[in-house]
Amino acid sequence: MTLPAFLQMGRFSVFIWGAYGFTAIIVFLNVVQPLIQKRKMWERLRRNLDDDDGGGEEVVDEEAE
Amino acid sequence: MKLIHKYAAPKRFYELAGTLTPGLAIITVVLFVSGLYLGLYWAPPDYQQGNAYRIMFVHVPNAWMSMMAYVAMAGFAAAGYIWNVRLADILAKVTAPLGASFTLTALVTGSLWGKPMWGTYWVWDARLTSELILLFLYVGYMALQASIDDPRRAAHASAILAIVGVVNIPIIHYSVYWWHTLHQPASLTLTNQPKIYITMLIPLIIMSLGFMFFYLTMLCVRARSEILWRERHADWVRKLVGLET
Repeated sequence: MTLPAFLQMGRFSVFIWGAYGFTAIIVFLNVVQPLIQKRKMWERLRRNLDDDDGGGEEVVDEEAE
Repeated sequence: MKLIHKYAAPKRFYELAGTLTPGLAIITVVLFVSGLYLGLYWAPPDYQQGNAYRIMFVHVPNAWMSMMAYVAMAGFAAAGYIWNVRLADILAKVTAPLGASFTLTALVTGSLWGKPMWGTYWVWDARLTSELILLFLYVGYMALQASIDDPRRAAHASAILAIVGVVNIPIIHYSVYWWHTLHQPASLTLTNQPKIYITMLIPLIIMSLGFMFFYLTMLCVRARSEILWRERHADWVRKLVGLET
């Protein structure tokens, strides 16, 4: 099978690559989002922002999913 | 009961998840790569649907995982509610966005499969509608969690929603048998012979395992972050972060 024929997928390329593309985006977001959240949380913990100075409540709201 | 509380200690799970995550991630990548190769290239076109059926390799695993994740979430939520296991509350909370992702992907890929096969992106048939309700249940669960600041109260309130919502799972599964739907009945069951050919079945099983391991990997990653945040005042976290020596 040639590359153009593979990419064309018969006459269904839009639907097939659309479905796989959407799935890839969702998988990517599911990987990246927790890693960004983890990095931000580690920074906050290191800066000790979770002390009872009012900053803690703000952080809890941001972290809540 | 003591055993559950002992092994469900957040610190113990944090360490266990940290050990398991790299292995789970490697298995996920291997399964995804091989599943994509087999599904998109190796498997032959279907005699009726042509290549359009290849959407099945992402649609079906996501649809299965949307239901399995919900049952897992409700199970964790129930364990947290009944036995006050903090780890169960955490696992229920971190399962919700993953389950919602699986459900959204199942709906969108199903819609993209529906257009060339049914001539429409969406119909209000029982299977599609009950799957959409599942997405609303996930969103409702996450919204309820986010609306209450106290983690224990948030877990208890959302646990009730999660447990009640389980009634939707058999409705999704049996909807194609109970009502006349445009959606086809299941091709794979636990008791009967598969209705799809082996060259299509192998990529489907590999992709399904891939999404299952993806769920487990991301469950560990998300749970570790959530544990760290909830236990931030504990000595072991402060030592880990370097606030105490």
